[in-house]
Amino acid sequence: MKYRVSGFTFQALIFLMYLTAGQVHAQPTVGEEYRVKAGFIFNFAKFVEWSEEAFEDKNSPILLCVFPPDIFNKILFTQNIGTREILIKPYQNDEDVKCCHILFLGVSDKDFVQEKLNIVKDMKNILTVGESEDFTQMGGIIGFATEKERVNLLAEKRRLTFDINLDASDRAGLKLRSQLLSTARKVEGSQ
Amino acid sequence: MRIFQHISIKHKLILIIMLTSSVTLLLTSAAFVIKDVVMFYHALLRDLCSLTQVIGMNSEGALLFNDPRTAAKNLESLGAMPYVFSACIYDKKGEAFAAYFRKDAPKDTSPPPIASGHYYKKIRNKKYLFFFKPILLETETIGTVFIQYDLEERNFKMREAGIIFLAVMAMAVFCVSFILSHILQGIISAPILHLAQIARTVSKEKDYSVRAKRCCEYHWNEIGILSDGFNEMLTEIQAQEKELIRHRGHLEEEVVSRTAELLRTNEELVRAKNAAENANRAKSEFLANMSHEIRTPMNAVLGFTDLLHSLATDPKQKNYIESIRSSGRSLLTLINDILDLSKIEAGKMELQYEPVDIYSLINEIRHIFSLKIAEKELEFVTDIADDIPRSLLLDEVRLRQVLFNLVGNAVKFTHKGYIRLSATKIYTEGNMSRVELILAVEDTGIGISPESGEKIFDAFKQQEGQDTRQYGGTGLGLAITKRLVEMMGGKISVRSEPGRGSVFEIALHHVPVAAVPVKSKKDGTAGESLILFEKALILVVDDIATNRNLIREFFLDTPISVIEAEDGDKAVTAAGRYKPDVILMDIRMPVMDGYEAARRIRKIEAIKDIPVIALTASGMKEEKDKTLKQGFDGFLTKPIQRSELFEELAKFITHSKKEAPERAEKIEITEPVSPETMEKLPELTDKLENELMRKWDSARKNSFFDEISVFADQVKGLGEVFGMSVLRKYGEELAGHVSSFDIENMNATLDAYPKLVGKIVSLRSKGG
Repeated sequence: MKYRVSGFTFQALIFLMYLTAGQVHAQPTVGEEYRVKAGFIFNFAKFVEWSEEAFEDKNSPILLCVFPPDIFNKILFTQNIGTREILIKPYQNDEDVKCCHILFLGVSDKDFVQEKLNIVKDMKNILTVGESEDFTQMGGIIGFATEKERVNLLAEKRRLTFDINLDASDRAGLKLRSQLLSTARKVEGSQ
Repeated sequence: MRIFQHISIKHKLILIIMLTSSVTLLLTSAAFVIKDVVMFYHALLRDLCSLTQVIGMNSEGALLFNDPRTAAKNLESLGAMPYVFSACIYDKKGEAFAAYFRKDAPKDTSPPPIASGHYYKKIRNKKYLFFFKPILLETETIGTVFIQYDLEERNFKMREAGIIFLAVMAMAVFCVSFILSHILQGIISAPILHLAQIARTVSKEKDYSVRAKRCCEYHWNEIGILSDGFNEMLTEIQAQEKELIRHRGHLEEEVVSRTAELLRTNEELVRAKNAAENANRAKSEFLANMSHEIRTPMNAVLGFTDLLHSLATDPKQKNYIESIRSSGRSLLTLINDILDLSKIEAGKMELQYEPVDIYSLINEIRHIFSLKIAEKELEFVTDIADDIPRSLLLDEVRLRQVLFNLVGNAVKFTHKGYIRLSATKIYTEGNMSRVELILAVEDTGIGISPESGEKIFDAFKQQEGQDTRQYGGTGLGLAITKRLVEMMGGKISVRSEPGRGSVFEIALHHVPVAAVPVKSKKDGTAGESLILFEKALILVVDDIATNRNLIREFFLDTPISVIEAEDGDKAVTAAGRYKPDVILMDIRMPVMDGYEAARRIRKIEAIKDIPVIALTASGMKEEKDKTLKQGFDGFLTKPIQRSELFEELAKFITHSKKEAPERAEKIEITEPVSPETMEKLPELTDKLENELMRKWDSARKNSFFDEISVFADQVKGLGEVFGMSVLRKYGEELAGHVSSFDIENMNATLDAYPKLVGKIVSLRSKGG
């Protein structure tokens, strides 16, 4: 498992941390990058609509399955999305995927990601979020990306952004709100 | 406002309509503008609200996922709205996340003062709306959208548009309302102008037949009512005008007819008045003539009857003659009374006031009746109050006549008992200068029945059952008495009881007390004897020879010569030839009357200054005035008294005066008696001594004026018949005293009769 956290990224994460501070109470020891990503995922949940059958009732929590299972350790979502809590569920085996609403694959290994994506390819109501290269081309719905932004001549800012594959979300039976789409770096798929 | 009052209704209407519509439109426009402004602000806020909402919603993701570019892109869409001055999205910490600026806006972003809402603020004199809208995700505020809206620009544009709109609107309103009001005002002003035109026509041409036209569409409204009222008024005026004209015509006719009627009535009145005056004058003249014309022949009748009576021997004839004589006397008395009464009633009798002593007057009466009363064995009592002033202003002659009548009546109707004549006076209201004189004649005679009462004072009314043969009288005595008393301002009343006697009472009111004492009776009597004429020539003009002879006789014992003429024409000739000193001219003459003769004489230069004295028989005052007016210098009434004639002549002929001789001397026979007279003298003396002496005796005793008057006429008649002027003069003198009720002189003259007879008898003896 590799953790690529550069100096720039670190700075950016500190900056972004302010944005999500209300939602994520990250411990200083936890990697800042994933804290920011956890915040993003929380916000994604706000702009995504699941179908009715995904939940038992309206108070049912949103299950966030994460791989590797310890990646969101020590991250706790204190806020609800609507009436629902977000519960983080470590990815132990492939069976666990079946009841997940959001699947975060925090690995950059494309084959591994493809394997996992294939598992959930035919499954409904699972929002797949990944950070590997070409995640959306491989059939994932939202894929994180990092952009470099020149602040001035000396400094360069790294900014976390994401791509969206609408075909994938359609297959999953999910509806993504326009706010999410307008903010995305790249939206793939028809429509 | 004054100007407004002076402009015509037409323009007023136009003005009013335009003013009203303009004000209405202005107010409406203002209301709309205000509403628009309010609405605009509301709409603006709403728009901004939704705009910011959209921007906020679209920016939610950008905020959440820290994507200022997307937010800026969202804001850039505001570039389509020109009045958005600037816009900004703040994050939840209040820091500017994305911003938009209009080209002219300064690029500064300040943190929002408030989280939501809006306010207006002026920056550099420009008004802006600051609008804030929070961006909510679920219930969480993730940022704020802010828009600074440029109101100034917007308002300026709006104002510009509004002004243009208003200007166009005002122009349109002005034009349209002007045209409309110009057309429509005619609806109201045309009938009014028509009415005014009609009114002017009516007042200018006075033609009330014109009528205001009534347009049918106005028939129910105020103009219609006005027109109707105006027409009704015209109809009314026309009717009244017609009525007035008719009335005027009628009035004129009426006035003309009334005036004509009045003139006619006036003429009739004047004619009637003239007729009445003429009749009255004729009556007066007739009566005046009567006095002369009847009394003269009556004298002759009575005189010759007396002669016949003395000649007749047959008792039967004597009886007849006696009847003629008494009837003649009655007739003469009647004539005299009628003359008196008619004089009074014609107002010709004038009272002559002079101081009168009532004591001596009553004594005279007592004296006159003393013989008669003694004969009838009556008692005559006079009772005069001591306090009556000795001198009162009264007409002595008429008062004597009144008392004479009353006492005479009393004597006549009293057969036994007494007659009482009393005089008392009452001062009225303490006024010492005037008294109420009350004279009463009381008798114990036959009295007057109550039925007769006041009737006895009426003319020709004698007490019923009065035996005319026994008492005689004309029935005029009391009537004359009453009239005389009334003329003197008094009242006569009678109280009587048949068989017991009567009381006649005369009350004379306000008799003035004379300041001068009563003149002696002797003064002025026999005045002719006092005048001694110098030589003169007198022309006597009279158509009756005896009248001329009478005057000639008056001058027998004077140095005056008399020439005669028998009418006016001859008088003028004689006057021219002889140039007399005085002309005595009778008025009524044949050929030429006295007036004409006098006029002619006045026209002849040589004789125009000769005094002419008129001789008239009427004795009326108007006759006297007329003659004096016609150029006569004097006036004498027939029968002419010698004394009067002499006094009148004394004014024109030089003379001297002598002392009054004894009365007896008067009857001295100075004239030479003609031989014919001397022949008849025995016959005359026989008459004088026997028949006339008996009459004289009777007259003296009775003191009846009538009887004395008859006696005087008889003496006068004898004088004329026998050519004895002294007898004639005596008779005339006596008659004059009787007619003037001069009792004192009458008695004196009467007493002188035996002396006169003695003289004539002595003449006879002388001649014989």
